[in-house]
Amino acid sequence: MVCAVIINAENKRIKLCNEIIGLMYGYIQWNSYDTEAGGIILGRENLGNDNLIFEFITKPMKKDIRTKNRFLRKDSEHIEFYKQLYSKHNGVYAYYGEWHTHPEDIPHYSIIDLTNWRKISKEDPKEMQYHIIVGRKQLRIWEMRKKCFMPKLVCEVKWDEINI
Amino acid sequence: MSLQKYFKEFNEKIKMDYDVKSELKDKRDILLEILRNAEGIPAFKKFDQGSYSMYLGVEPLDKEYDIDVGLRFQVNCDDYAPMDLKDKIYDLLKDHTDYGATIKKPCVTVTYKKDGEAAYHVDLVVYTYADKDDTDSQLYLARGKNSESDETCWEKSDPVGLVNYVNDKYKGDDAKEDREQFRRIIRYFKRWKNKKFSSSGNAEPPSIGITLIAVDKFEVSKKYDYLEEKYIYDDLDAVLNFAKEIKDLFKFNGISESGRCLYSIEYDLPSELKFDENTNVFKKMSDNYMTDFKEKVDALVTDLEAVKNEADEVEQCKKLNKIFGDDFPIPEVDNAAKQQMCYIPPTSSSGAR
Repeated sequence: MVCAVIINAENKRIKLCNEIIGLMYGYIQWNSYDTEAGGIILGRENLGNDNLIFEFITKPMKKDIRTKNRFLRKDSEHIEFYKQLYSKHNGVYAYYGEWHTHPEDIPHYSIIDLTNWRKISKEDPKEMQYHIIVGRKQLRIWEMRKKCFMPKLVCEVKWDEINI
Repeated sequence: MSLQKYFKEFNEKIKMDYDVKSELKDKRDILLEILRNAEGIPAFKKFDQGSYSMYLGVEPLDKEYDIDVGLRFQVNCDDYAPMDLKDKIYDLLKDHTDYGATIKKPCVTVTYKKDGEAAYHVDLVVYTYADKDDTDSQLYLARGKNSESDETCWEKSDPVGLVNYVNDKYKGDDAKEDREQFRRIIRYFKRWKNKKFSSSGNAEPPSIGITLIAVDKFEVSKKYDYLEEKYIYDDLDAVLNFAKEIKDLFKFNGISESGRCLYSIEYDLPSELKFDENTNVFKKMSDNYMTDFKEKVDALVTDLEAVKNEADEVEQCKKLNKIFGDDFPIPEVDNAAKQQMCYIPPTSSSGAR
């Protein structure tokens, strides 16, 4: 059984539900021939406080481009999934960021990632996004704040420290 | 609109319903009228005791409602045997309802039915004075089921002092909100108790025990909100801290023949009140029942800590619903999260290189 992970961020907590951790774990690039995977992170914010619940991620879709070192989210199914979730739940689910895998033990963001996150930060009306990179030994989460030039590492989850 | 909102909804659901109480009060008054008009029953003054008088009544689960009434007879304790007045009351009331009356050790119980089933009962507790001309003199409770039993006796008692001891904890308008949290937490505990323990025998810890521990150990959980300019109460923290206080009262009491580690709990009635000595309120519980109580309180603390560590309000409510039962509300996700803008970047490009 996979455990949920709760992260203490500034003035709030962020919960990664067990389902999304299990899904991301399934896409780790263990072998040299494995291709990158990725998708979007969807969640909601408690009414009574600012805690965030990351409850869904989308999986790689047919029309996405996947190579050993690249993941291009191109398939419109990601957006379709989100729109359906949004309308089914009266607009309480939001897009919080991107996730993808890297073929390294401890993941680091690349120039491509940084450029992408900056672009998203500029276009997204929300103040903040959270991006996840999944490595072989760790999953790491960065916070990207509007008008901040650099992402801030908020948490690293070691696979051997959680129940997988 | 935080977790506190759901705690308050829970409190409203489990709080004893005033309409039911008024029906109970009517029944009680009819019984008292019968006793007042009966020959051979000395004059008495009635007072309310039990959870009703302390504003701590909780809607029972699969149990009867009850109301406890103390009858202070204007007689000297020495002039009566403990069963004299109880037997007389029993004789007068035994045919009053279909269910009749029963003599129990601390009282005479009259049970009423509603829709064909036992619905509520009135417990009449008999007291006499050490000196009938001095209403401040020691009160004695008539304890016993029959005059043959060795246990039957006049027992020193201070029921009015006990009610005042509880009701004086948070007194006055200034303490209103603190008092309300104090009462809510006791109600939550009583509901938990009702759900987790069998009400038969002495498996269930007595409510007065929980209430007295709360009077002495409960601490209000609140924080001042400078934006709202008022205190924000935190019932989750309050109930967790109170559960920890109870947990700390258990003492190791040896190992049973079957190898079970046994624990005991003692909590005496307030020494400043005029009760008999050795008044541990949990004394009727056996070692095994006390140990069951400890194990359940331990689990309660663990489960409430899990609620505290949970970030999702909906999940917190689900966990609380498991602890306290179905009267604890579980909101729909749609009603427990903030509205969001529908935005998503159309594409995204990621990569290790």
